[in-house]
Amino acid sequence: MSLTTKNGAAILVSCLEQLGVEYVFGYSGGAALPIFDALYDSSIKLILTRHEQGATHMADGYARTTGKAGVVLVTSGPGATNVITGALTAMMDSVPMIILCGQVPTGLLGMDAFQEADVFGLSMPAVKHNYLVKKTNDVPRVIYEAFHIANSGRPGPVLIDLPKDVTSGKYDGDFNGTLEIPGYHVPHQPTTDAVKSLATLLNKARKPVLLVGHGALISKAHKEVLALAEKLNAPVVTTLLAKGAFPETHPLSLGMVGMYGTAYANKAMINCDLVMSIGSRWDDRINGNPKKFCPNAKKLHIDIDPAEIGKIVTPDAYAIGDAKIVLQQLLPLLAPENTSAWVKEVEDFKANHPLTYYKEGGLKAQQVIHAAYTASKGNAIVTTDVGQHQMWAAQFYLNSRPDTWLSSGGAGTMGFGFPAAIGAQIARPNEMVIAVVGDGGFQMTLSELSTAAIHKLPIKILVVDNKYLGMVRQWQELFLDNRYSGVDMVGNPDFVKLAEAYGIKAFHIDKAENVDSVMQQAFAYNEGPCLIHAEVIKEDNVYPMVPAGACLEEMVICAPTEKMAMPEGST
Amino acid sequence: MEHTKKLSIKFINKSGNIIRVALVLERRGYNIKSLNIYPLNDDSGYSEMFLELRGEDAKFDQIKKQLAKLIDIIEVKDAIRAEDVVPVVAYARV
Ligand SMILES: Cc1ncc(C[n+]2csc(CCOP(=O)(O)OP(=O)(O)O)c2C)c(N)n1
Ligand SMILES: [Mg+2]
Repeated sequence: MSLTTKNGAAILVSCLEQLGVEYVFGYSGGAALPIFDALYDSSIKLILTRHEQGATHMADGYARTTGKAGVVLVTSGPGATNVITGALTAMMDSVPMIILCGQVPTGLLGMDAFQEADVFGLSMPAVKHNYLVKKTNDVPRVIYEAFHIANSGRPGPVLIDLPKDVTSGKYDGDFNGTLEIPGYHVPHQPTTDAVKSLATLLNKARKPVLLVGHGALISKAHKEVLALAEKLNAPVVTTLLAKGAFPETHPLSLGMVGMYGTAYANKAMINCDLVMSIGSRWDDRINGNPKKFCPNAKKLHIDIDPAEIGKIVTPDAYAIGDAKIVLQQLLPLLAPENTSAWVKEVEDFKANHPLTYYKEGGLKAQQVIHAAYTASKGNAIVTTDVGQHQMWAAQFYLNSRPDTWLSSGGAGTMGFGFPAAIGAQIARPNEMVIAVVGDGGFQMTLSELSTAAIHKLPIKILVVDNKYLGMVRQWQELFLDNRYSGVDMVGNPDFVKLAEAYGIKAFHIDKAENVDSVMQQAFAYNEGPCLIHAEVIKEDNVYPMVPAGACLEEMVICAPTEKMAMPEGST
Repeated sequence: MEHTKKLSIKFINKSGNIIRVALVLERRGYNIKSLNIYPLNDDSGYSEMFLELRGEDAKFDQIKKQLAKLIDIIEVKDAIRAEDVVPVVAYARV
């Protein structure tokens, strides 16, 4: 390739092409003009969004479905500050993303120039790494380093701030592929002793549980997880993010664990004698109270990030490395005890405390989500927003394949679900994509209806409309004497008309008896996006629930009859 | 329990790296009592940061791991030599 005749932006775009980038999700502006201009001649497809936050969540949805970094391009100042939420969302969930920001020319940095924002400083705690590029000749190296950092080890977002003179200046460098990141090491291979120490404890366990986290999906270890569960005959629980890493229809699956996890998953955690986390970071949605967590269990931990070992739980044995490689080395060392009595015990938990809901008294979100599950034969890619509908979707949409469940876990970002579905549908044009969103969160990024409509993406947007910020309302009902403050969504639009205003097909459900037929019709429509407005009962709560900061023993399985004490943990 | 700790951090002296270190410490409630930076005498082009810190003992290991995770940090270690945190030495080496 001849690099000599190009400007910084053209070099940047050719690097993206060489790195296999198919799509850039972006929003234009003055400081990014050279880059948008370079994209004009490129084979890379530009998806123009309606807000920079939408671009980040689309890139995120693209990345979570493909495992490849999603690329975002925005302008300086407000364009750049609008990506911070999406960067945090990707950071908290270890999603690879490259965020390219236009910036004022280097000579104006620090001069309060028009649309100057110190996005290098602003984004630092929300990204895995970031760059402010000051020389055109550094552009290719920085791009290659950024992709390497974003994609490897524990993935994450990398932001690159690109002053306008850097992208419009002439490139006369001789980048030969050498990266200059001597401080960056990825521990793929565990030590042999570490793997042996896991095996020793696993071989003694009589009541083991596997806690599967997002790391298992990132390392594509789902086959190894299945082999391990079957070899150990051990029940499997997953975190919210790891849904699909182990088939939820498998007899050993206990579904999601934690704050709104199944009662049987939580009971298994309480009663097990060993729990092994495979790429989960024992976070506070699972482990509200580390002092009382799985009190009688040996704790084993597999993670590629050394800083996760001992951060919350002090493990009895651990291996630092890529989950897939660790499991491959671990499997031959296993000679497990007979666990059938334990599996029977867990099956009794399941029989005694099944996941259920009251079907009487108006249309229930759970029924609507279950109908979506049936209509899509459990085979769709499901994205969610954040709130009650997210937890119901986690409970009632069972995932049996990896990379088919996209939800903002660590950051809990409202507004994520719908744009993430756009990114997922772009990445997987032949799959069915369902966005399960709340009436609150959908309104944060619904401007992307244009984006979905223009590209005729056949996304099913399921708006679970309870006319409340339901999850917050639930907490106010249970812990604050029904003092509803700042949760009423009065003034919601007519979602059907709203969709139609964008030229999008829309359906409406408000009766239990119509759910299945409407869902069938909506799911048969594939010419473009369609919106299903489900008006569900206003006041319903997600159970089981473990109050924030409490231990799993304090799980509330169904509606309490007395007022509950305000939890101490982070809500 | 809180005690004073001494850290030595070898790093690539690009702009931003002092803020990155400070952010890791601030977030976990650590206070910087002194900070000295000087370039290494070898050809590496790296610099070394010496910090005297105060914060909860229990968080120290986690903090060292989070610092080591920063991309431009080459090495994090306990600074055992007393002179490591004396500014005069630092100036002398520059
Ligand atoms: C950007 C953002 N702001 C605020 C919150 C706090 N929050 C968490 S859930 C929730 C309610 C969501 O309401 P809705 O989207 O209608 O979903 P529902 O809970 O009713 O299903 C709120 C406000 C958040 N998670 N994200
Ligand atoms: Mg709602």
